[in-house]
Amino acid sequence: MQIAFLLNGQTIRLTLDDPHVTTLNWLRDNGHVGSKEGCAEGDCGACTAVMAEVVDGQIQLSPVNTCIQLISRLNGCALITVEGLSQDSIHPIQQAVVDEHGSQCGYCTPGVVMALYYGLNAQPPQNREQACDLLAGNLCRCTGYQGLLRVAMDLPKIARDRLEPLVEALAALHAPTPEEHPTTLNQALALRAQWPDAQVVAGNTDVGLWVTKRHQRFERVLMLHRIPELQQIHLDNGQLVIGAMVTYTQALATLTQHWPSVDRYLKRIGSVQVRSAGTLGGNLANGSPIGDMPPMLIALQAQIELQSVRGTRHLPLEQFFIQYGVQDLADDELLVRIHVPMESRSLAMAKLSKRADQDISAVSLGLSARVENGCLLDPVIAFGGMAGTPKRARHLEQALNNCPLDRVDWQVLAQDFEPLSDARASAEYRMRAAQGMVKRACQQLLGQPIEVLV
Amino acid sequence: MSQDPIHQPIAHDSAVGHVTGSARYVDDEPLPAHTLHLAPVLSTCAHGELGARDYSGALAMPGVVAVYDVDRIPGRNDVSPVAGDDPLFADQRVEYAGQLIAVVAAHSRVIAQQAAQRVRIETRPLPAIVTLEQAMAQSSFIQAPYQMEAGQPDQALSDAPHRLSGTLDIGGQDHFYLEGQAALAMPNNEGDLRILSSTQHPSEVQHAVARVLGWAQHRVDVHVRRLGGGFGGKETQGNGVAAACALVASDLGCPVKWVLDRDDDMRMTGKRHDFKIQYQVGFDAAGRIHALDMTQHVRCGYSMDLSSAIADRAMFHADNAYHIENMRVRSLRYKTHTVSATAFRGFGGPQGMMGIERVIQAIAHELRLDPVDVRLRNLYPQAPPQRTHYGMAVQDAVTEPLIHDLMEACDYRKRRAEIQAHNATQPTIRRGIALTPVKFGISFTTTHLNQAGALVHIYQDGSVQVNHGGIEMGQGLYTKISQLAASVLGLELSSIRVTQTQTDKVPNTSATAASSGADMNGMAVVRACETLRERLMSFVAQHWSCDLEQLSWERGQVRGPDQVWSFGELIQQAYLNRISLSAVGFYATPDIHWDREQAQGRPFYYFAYGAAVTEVSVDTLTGENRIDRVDILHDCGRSLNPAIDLGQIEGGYIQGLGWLTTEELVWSEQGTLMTHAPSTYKVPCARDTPAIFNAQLWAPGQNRELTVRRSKAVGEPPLMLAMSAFYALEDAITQDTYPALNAPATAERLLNAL
Repeated sequence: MQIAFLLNGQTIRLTLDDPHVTTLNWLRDNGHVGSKEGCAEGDCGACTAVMAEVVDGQIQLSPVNTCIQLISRLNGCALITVEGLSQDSIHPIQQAVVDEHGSQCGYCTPGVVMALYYGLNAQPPQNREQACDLLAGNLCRCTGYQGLLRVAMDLPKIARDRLEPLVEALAALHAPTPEEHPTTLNQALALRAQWPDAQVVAGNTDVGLWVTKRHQRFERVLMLHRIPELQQIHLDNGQLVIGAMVTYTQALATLTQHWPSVDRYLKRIGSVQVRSAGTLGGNLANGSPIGDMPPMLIALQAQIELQSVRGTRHLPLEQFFIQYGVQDLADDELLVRIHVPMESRSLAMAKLSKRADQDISAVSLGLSARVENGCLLDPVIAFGGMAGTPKRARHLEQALNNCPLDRVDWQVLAQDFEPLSDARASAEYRMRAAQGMVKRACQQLLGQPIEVLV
Repeated sequence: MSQDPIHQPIAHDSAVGHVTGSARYVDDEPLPAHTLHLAPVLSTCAHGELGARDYSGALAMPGVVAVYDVDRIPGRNDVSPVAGDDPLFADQRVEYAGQLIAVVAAHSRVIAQQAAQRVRIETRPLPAIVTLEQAMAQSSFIQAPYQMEAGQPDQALSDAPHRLSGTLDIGGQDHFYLEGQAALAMPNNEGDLRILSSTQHPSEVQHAVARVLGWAQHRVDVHVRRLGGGFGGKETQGNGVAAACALVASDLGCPVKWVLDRDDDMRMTGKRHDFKIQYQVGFDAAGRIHALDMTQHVRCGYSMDLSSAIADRAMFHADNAYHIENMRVRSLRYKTHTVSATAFRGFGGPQGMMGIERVIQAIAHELRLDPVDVRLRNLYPQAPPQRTHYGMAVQDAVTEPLIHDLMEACDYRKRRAEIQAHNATQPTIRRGIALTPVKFGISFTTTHLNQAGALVHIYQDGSVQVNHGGIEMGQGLYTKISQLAASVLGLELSSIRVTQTQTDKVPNTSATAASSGADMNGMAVVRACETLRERLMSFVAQHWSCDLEQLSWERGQVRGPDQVWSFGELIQQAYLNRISLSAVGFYATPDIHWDREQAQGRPFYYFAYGAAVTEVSVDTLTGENRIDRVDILHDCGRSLNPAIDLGQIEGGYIQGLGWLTTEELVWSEQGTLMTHAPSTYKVPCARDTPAIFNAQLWAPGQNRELTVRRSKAVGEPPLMLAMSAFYALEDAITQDTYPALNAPATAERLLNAL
């Protein structure tokens, strides 16, 4: 596979024999050792760099966990690593970290600096909350973050970088078009039929770990990131239609516009790095029982659209998950769109995890209902983490329907689920906390004043 | 010339290197040609007999060069620090899941990792002791029990007006240094080895490598510039990584590198000891403790490592800041088929302190007193000095004034009253507050380790190179060393270059541990610089034919009755007159002694003190919680560098917070570690830090002992300030019955305790 990209302004052209090479391994093997490997699974952020792409004529930035992002994903893009920030003189962000004593051992620091660089040029934090969001994907074991948070909160005082010249530079790159990177849905479907053994890659936030941790090797990869049709999000006939390749970051604004309560829930998914890469379609097609989107989308009674060269079918999302590890997806099919009805239901979300930010859910909950006379009507309650698949709590839905909260028997949830014990939570805790989560979500929908701590 | 750099908030000497990515760690070094890379083959079984080892699948892979196991060791199969019981490679049996059985050497790390997956190891499982409870039930001791005692605990217990007993379980902690363990071994022109290692203890790596190879120690040089975090996890745990590289490098005659993958690192390397603490306490109606009988059960894992000294330190800190006249501490040390627990910031001290703080909380609850009042009534007094349960007079107790300053600064009493009023309304979100002090003993309790060396060179252009035995792992040691050298020689910081630490420059070093780095290496560097200064002054006096008393040395200039030399002129003249411009410095901490047999002595040169107040919220529906505010006063004596010390305080508190809240190590029943990656093992991230974070050095701080510039060590003590967060969480969920929360206080434990 031939690829071309800009690394800190310099053109790199590569012929890749091995599709599994990660960006971080390529960088470090080629002497760019500023980016560090802390975990090789996208959880610590020490390898963070910033990727720039041209979208609709504008530069769009993404912070990248380079440890799990394949180098081939950079084709046609610009990558800015920590080395790129101080080519002439030290960048104001770097100086600010020095001035605030923001580094101790320094190993996480290049990644932190790059997360800050992304924040500066994409969306400078306006308060501590947003500063915490920006840094959630960067673990620091030494400093306790206080100096780094001060720098993050002061980003609005620093002048943004001039990135416009990248538009021209990327156009001049004339990046190749590898066969594995189809640019239309029809191409992708044809390849999916032609290469049934190919690993489909969406955001690569999970597949990346199969490469770095399980050392899995694929016959081929089929990467879907260059298909504009799958990156649209629009309203159509009373439905919100979300392309499967829309990232969390891209979906955030639209989803919170329609369902304001999901803002914090969405920001607790991964980190800015993970949310800039991870896609809604990938989260569903992956089939994980602890994915964060299924409870929300099941609660909203979403349908998914599956396509193959044979045709198109639609399916209520909850029917997609057959059992643990088994989804209703044929070998030649792709999950292409999510259709969310926009009826007047209220939505509340909750996520339970050991750590507030950048943690995988022990339990996740989506609850939607119509609110009338202090009661919830036709509630839909969907849980992740309570069974082998994302699943509705039918008994509790029935118990809750049109029932004042003080008369609800929350214990019926035990008829819906027999959760497992694992490193994240015990079965007993999952069951008890899930009841608390539903109760709190109901109170939220009913407009009762409640404080949510995380 | 600028002012004396000592006591100034000077930035870390590598700060610019950190932020630009140009500060190099072992993994960043450009590799010599033909470097091979290693990947480990680990036991998946906690206890078993090793059977057939089939390497054919790995060896058949293109790029794989060799596989090394116990059969390939020319010297001794031992990389242990003390007891001779840590094999480099498992021999005949495995004793924990994650134990190293073999390493695969290949032309790239990725190939080595893939090949390691193709190795087939047969293991016949044996019964495994995994938990502390199992070890206790089977009396699976790794070392003889040990005891410290003062007064008449039994008598005083039975005479006390009130008695309580209880138990506290405390979980372990993974270091989660961001840089995994790493080593690069390079054969030199004589076939000897130069090793770059991410160790806190280069001399021990040198010894371990020499032992495994069957070599004299003078054939091995170990070099360390900086670590990406250590926290005790790189005190002994890097020995095997370096020894494996050395073994392959010496055998094949090529450079060999091994950087541990995060999951391998977490499975293979030791963690903080988990403890079970049982106590019986006798006290009066005012909450004054009359007698305490405490037993500390310690899970040491499969081998000794440093467990003896760690368990001892837990006993030394069983009193924390409280004078308890009649006291007995028993320590029972258990062998389990889990990874060998090792040093971790605080070195047993944190667990010891958690025990007595639990006792205080329980007494306060029993008597319905503010726990702060129970604390204040039991503190070591400023005067007259009282003796600890191991016979050391506490001469420098400042906890009482420090706590009073803290309570006033953070309005403790008023806030506590408001929190109690809030909780009385039976709200969904309950709040809690707690104040805990820290008194932490400074010195290695193994007395002979309290020594350090330095080597200082002045070159002909007047630039100074400083070498010492300490390791820079983020704590700012090199910065403080630079400040001290610049201060003694009266030079700008830019004239001082602190170079990487090398066993061939300063030999026979102790680990950079026990918070001792700046205290000991700083003093050794000061002495070397003073030697040079005195030597140069004598030369000048002779050269100018005047008395020493007529000379002054100020800001790098020598001034005599008739003339002045700049430092550059001085060095030129000294060189031309054949004066040595190089000196060693040596320091051994004075006045300390420890009789382990009698459990009496003065193991510590002095104590470091601090206190913290933490306020929290807990959701009673789910156990989810938030640390809302912390106020800290910490005594660094006369801080060598207030900015760096504040960083240690803030970072130590947050690391301790992780230990006591979200960082939960989970083992399967079979003894496999389930939490071996950041996806399941959760260290604090930015949002977990309290929105209100007031940390300050305690302004009146002084060290009554003659430490370097009257400073106090600061590496470990602040970690224990986080006990206030744990007991604040406990406070939030406390109602009529005492919840006796175990650590870590995960949301799950909090909900279960409600």
